[in-house]
Amino acid sequence: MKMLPAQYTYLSTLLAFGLVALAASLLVARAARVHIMRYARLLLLMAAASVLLTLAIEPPALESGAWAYGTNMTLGVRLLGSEMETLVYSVLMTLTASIVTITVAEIEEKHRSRRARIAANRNQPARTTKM
Amino acid sequence: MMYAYMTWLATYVALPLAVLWMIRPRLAWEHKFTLLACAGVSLLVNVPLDWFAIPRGIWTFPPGSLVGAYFLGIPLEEYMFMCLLAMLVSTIALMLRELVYHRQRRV
Repeated sequence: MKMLPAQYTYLSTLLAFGLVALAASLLVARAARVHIMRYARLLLLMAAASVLLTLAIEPPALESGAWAYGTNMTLGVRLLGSEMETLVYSVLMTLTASIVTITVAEIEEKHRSRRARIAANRNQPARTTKM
Repeated sequence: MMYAYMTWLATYVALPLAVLWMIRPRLAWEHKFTLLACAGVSLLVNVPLDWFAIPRGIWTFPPGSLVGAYFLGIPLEEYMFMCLLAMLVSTIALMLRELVYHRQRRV
């Protein structure tokens, strides 16, 4: 049963996969006790960067014939040679990758500082007590 | 164009990534697990997306654009795209994070 017109196929597919990935990354960050909202500015910057990156790299891919979109599968709205749906997915995936990056980097840094603390404690001379 | 996808990957994804890693080698090395985790997550999301989209013709690969190596029905270039682009985004995020939040020493 077809629920949506064919031209929404690309958009609906990307939204389904992209939103699930974004929600999962937020849940993982929350489970790891990483406060993602502290990085709101970085996420906004990354979203803007993803639009610029897509506008820079997708048109050459389509022009050179690296890949092509199915006829009637897209809305046909293009911004500087990039499909609108690709831009939306690019923002969603960039936010997901950025949240994963922040989460894993924080975990890595916590482990690194804990290891450094343990090493520093091991190198300290033993404390002497006055008798 | 012969091998258009691989040529595009090398020019627009692998080259910028290599340049960023050369600019900040220590940042990339210190966060190697972060970069690998991002590539892994990208594969986890985009391989099922490709399994769904390619048979339905949502996106296609013109004849001659691929090198012709497939794994689980997905062209090799797609795997490279997923991993390299995720690592490029992750590297940019790490660099901006350091720049905006002054978290680490600059190399």
